[in-house]
Amino acid sequence: MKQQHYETMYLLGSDVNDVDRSALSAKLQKLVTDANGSIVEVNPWPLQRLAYKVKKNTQGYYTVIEYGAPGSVLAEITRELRLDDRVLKFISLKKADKFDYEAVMKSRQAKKTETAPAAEDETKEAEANE
Amino acid sequence: MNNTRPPQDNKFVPRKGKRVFMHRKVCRFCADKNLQIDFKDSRMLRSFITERGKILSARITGTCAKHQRCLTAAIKQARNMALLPVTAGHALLD
Repeated sequence: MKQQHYETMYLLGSDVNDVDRSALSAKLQKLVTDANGSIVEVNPWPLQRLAYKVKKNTQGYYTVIEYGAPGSVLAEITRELRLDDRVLKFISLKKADKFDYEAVMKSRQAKKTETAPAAEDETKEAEANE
Repeated sequence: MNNTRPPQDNKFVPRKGKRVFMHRKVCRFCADKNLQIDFKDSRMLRSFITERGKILSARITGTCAKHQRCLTAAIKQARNMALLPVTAGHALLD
């Protein structure tokens, strides 16, 4: 089935513990892999201060999941996040119409190696200036 | 018709004693192709909103029309996710 490149981010309140957070993340990842989709990256953010109060929460945990899957998976994930009372906010974006796992991973790798030497150069320059 | 403006020929007349030369502002995202507009990058987006949380116009920041559209969308997504304040009145104080 045709796969698309999606990104989903959701926000949990600060009272949700580690175990529950990873359980929810695993549940969503399972939805993707069950439909022959593939996970590109799961990025749980540390506890963050919110810009405004959401259901009396001033802090929360964001999680970003990037994946490639058919559109039906997106509907399932949206349903799951809507039903879960602990999820304060969520957003899903389509990053690209086509998803090719190898190509995506390759470009990510290339970006990493591209930015890494640049950072090294900067530190070298800083040292030279000292 | 009550047109009080004096007739002008098509010459640009600078105001008395004020001749301001402005450097042309360059779109930050066109200048640096590696810079991505991402709603998750709230620190970068914060430089494009006012203290009250309003979106700064392209005229002020020098962003080109194409990137201003992306920027506006990203700021609104970030507001939805509580990454950026919608108004200063509801913002949590640090």
